[in-house]
Amino acid sequence: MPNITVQDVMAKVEHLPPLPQAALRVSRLMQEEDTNAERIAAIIRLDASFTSNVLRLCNSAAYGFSRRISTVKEAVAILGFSTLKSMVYMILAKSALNHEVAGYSLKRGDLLFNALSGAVYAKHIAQKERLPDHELAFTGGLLRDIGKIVLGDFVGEEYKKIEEVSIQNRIDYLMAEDKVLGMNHARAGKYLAEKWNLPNPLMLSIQHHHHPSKMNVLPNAPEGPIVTAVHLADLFTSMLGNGVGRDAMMYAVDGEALKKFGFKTVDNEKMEALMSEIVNLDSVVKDLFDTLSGMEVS
Amino acid sequence: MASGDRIMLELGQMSASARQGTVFSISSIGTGVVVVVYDARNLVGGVACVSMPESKLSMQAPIEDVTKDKPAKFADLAIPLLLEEFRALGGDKNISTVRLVGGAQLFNFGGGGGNLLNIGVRNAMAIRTALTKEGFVVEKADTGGNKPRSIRFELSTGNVYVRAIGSVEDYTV
Repeated sequence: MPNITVQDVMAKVEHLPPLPQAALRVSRLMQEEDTNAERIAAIIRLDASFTSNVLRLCNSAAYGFSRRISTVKEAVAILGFSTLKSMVYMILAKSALNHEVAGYSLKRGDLLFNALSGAVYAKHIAQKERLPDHELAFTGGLLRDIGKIVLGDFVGEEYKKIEEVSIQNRIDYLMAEDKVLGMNHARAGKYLAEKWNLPNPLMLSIQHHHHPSKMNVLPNAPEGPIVTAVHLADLFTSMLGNGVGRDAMMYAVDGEALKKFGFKTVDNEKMEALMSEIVNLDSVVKDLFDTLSGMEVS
Repeated sequence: MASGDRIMLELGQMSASARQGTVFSISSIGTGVVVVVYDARNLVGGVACVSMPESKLSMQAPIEDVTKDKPAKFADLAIPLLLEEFRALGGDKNISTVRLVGGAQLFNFGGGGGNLLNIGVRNAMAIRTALTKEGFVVEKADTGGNKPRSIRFELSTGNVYVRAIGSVEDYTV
């Protein structure tokens, strides 16, 4: 059986196709302490293609603004910093995730659709739970499975074994990956997130979205509920079959996390009502997917 | 051979047809359940893609808003509508068959999740209840398991082809 090491993962990370430079620059800039919307706008404006992509997203039905936004300055003023960050990450996601990943039986487009579904649902759940940072939930949902593009190539024929181990041992797919490969896609995602300089709250979503209760944080830590929102969004995405791969429903609800982080949608009726709302969000997911699909992203 | 329509449906949608050569296709159904009703003699077929068992648990929004673009979202509302369309096209209840496909489930290791954990089963049950009220019985069901399914229903043959995610082959139901 293969034993995939951290070195194997790091080597793969180094060999992935580069991300669009402008978007990467902006995402790094967004992490800096003293950054502001004007500085971000200035960097965006330097790259015509990036500018055009940001404006496309601004004007998509998903964002539903009544008037057309035609400059980066307007976009920054109307959208605010958080929403702009989400758009930058969506453009990065389009570049990184719009590939076939045979190891997970994902056709081209599936992983991106899956990412957007998780993003939109996580944001909705964060809004419903009145969490302080809805866009953080959005980007957490968006990037949660980037590890699949790293680990996909290592899976090979082992996927059959992973499924068997999961079912026979009554463990989820992530844990079965660990048993069979010596590595799982959440950890692989963490290494990729480090290479992209993603901020810590996003890293937590990437690493812990399948088992938020296992995060080493206090019950009142703000990351707890955010990662839990991403966790639920991931499960709803699976249940609704949105760009799913072969691991689709081989996960369980982390009830511990719902309790630990004080989620209000924990009881039976509320979960079902939440799912009913989630079902209605597919037009937003589709609109974002169509908008991103129409973009040229280097 | 008539070219027929290729009707692609998503969760919440439904369609019925009496056009020769029609093929209905639905990709990636997880906990949702696809209902296929078929009259082999008159060559009428109908498909509904149900995602939730009951309309009464939904929000306070009026039914019109809730089901505008998703008439088949709720089992209890989907079935009467589907059968109405089916009958309008000449589908005869007395000689028709009904098949269900879908209703997969997340893993349940006792860690919680309330009634999300059996929503697939409850979708199927709610559909059966609604069908019984209309005098229909389910002939065959391919439901449960952990794998999302993609479905193709051919009006000319009545065949329902199902493919589980990750499989390279279809099977028939």
